[in-house]
Amino acid sequence: MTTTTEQPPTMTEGAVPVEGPGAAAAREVPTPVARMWRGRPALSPGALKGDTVWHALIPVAILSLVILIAPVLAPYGATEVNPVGPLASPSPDAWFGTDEIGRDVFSRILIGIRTSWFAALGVILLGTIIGGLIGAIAGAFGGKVDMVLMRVTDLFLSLPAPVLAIAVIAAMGPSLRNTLIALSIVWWPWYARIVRGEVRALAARPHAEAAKLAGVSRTRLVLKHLLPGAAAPVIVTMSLDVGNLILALAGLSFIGLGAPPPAPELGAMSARGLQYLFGHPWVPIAPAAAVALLALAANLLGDAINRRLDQRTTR
Amino acid sequence: MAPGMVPGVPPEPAVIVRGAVREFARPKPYPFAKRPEPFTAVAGVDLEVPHAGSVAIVGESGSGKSTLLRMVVGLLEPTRGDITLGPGAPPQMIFQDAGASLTPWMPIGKQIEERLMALDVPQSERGARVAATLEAVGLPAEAQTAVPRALSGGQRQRAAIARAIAVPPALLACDEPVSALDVSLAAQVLNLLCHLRETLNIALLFVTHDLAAARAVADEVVVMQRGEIVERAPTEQLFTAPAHPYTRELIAAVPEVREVAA
Repeated sequence: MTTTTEQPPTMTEGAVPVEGPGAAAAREVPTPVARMWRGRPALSPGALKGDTVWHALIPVAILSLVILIAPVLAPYGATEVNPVGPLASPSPDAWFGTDEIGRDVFSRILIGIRTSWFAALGVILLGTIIGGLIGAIAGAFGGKVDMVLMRVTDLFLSLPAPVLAIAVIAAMGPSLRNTLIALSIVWWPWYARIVRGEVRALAARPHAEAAKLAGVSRTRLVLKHLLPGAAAPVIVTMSLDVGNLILALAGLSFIGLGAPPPAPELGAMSARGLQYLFGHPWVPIAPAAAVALLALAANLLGDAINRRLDQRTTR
Repeated sequence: MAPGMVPGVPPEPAVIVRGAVREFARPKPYPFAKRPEPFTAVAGVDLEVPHAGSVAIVGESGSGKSTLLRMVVGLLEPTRGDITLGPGAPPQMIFQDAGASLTPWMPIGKQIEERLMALDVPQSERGARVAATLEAVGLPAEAQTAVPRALSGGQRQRAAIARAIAVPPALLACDEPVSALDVSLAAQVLNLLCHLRETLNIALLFVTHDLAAARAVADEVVVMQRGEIVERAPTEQLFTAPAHPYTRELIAAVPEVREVAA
């Protein structure tokens, strides 16, 4: 601190200066990479370059590698029995021990992670496609088309996911596919809303009017002049949703709304292993920890992408 | 020679506006209220821009000049009245904020090419046409692959002009084309517009509140107030001997112009 006593220290001391020499530095864009990023389309090869994303990419890269080669990494098959016997403690022969039937928990988790990851990506991709299509149509046409489509979207948005999942599974039988159908039904409306909002906002900008005046066709206007502007918020939502979906899937499978028993599903493994929580804690805790790690990695990546794309959108 | 021209016959005007009126509905103040009288932005305007001519519309904010311009290029339908376009490619427009009129994520070359696509220029010719257009507006060839944000304000303005003239229109409407630029850049853009008018026979219809710019570019100046034309005169006459009190007021509000005029 300085020795000046003209101004007594106040509550605001230490806060970011609003004016004065420190203010410019406080408002400075945090990294040089962020400055380089300006002016790049959301999907350019440089879009994922940047320190924050790199840090998040490390766990995700390891995870993706593990997921891709899971069947090779897993010492045993998902329903194969480890010769060490049932309910064995973790050991070099069975890293996470074995369950009540003697199946290798480590192998089942590896294959379970793979299923969760692909299932989450599948629901998100489907949601983006359906929601993007409906949102783009509603936003581009406006008027009555917009009103009808958005009310239908609201209708789907009002369905509670677990109740719908129970209904779908009661009607079609328990399977991973049916759980994913139920999740997709409640997931796409969010994307429709985001895309519709972005498209409408962009359609009011001068560049849309200028393109129209230049004679660009309606389809091309939507595809090339409006939709790319919705890419950044959609990518952010998609990346943050991977974690949400992994948790939602694990939750549904925990209460028995996932694939039927022999399938290595993390939520279901945890639920069925609960009775061994005190004697053989690895049986329920290992799959639960895998869900937590998976969701954490997905959220780290989502946050990093969010930060990165936000720097682009807040000019 | 521009299409539609016959030697010896005076060419048709680029646009003729007859009795154009544009009204905008006002929102109801509360539900079930009687709908209020519409707001009249343009109240019966006659205007003619000669072939390759240059007309400036001046007036204060809210005088209806931009609305008139948007009706001329077809972005707004007139409530009443007729707008007859001359022969040749349909009119194009330079927007007030030229940077915002370019799609942020699309390279400049692509945006110019879209204009060529819209008028069915064969694909084999487009590359050369884009390059030639960039050169005509004084942009470097690298601008073709640049997105708008990578260019300076003046360059973006030139890029917007390039798209508008890639296929030379019979009429180029400019909505405050230089009000966002600093003085030297503004002069460059005005020179460019004059040059394009001479070389490509493009008529200019120019909306501005900058009287100096109007004087530099226009052959004829039209003064609008509250949706109506209050005075029209050849440029020099309007500045040296303004007839309408509102015109005198406008000129008096700009000291530099009065000094030059004296």
